[in-house]
Amino acid sequence: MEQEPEIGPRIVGEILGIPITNTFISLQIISIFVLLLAFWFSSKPKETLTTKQNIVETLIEMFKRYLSGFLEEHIVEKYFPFFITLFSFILLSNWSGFIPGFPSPTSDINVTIGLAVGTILYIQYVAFKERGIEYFKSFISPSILFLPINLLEQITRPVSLALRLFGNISGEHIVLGIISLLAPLIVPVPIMALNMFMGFIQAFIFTSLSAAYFATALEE
Amino acid sequence: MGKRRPKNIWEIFNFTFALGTGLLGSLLVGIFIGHYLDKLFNTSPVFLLAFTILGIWVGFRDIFRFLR
Repeated sequence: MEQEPEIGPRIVGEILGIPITNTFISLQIISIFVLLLAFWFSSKPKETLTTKQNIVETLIEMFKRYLSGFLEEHIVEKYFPFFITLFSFILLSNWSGFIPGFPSPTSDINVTIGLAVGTILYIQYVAFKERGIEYFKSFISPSILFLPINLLEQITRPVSLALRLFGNISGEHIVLGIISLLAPLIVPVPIMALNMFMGFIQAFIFTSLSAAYFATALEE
Repeated sequence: MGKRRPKNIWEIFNFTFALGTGLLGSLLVGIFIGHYLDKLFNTSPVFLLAFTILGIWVGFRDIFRFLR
């Protein structure tokens, strides 16, 4: 009997009574990888540009220019590490699903909910830090009647962020799994290319929507 | 008033993906909160209807805000 393609998290062990899933392990590996990559990229900057430094600086400048479409220059400069970490983490997580036997962490809804809730909480914290008590007045603008709607909006944002990322990535894996079962040779390759592109787009969308939420929290 | 056009292809991608799940997310949150409050206060279906409408409102407001 053929082995069915595996979709979603699977419990592989237990530590102190807490079940450990395979996506949890891959999440930790990706986190360490992103950390190492960041150290490698930022280590020993030289006066004369090396190829690595040139590429990294160009990419960072491009990303900064894109983010400044949403936020002011000084805000982008200040909170850039947050955005680039979010982007690189999600991108590598999405792409890691192509390694055989390595489940993509973003195909687990717990990971995407964690990311989305963390992002929204961070935005609340930054908005409060930047604007002080003034920020809470935006919840009752234009009038106190809008309080439930404004609150509901804050709850809605992480839900839609998490659902979007999870739905797209796990959908891609399901499609790839089915196509691989039906036609295991050559046919999955274009689908994989498409999935790679979509993985990039999803990381991009998550980051730019976070920037857009950042902007609304800071400007209102 | 001139039509606002997306600046680049990324903005189009952003918008298309934000639209669908934005509406769905707000609707789902509305339904869940309404259902939970109805169960809590035993007032079915008052809160469910109210929060569903609120959810739709929030979803559309988000879209309009994005479009501006």
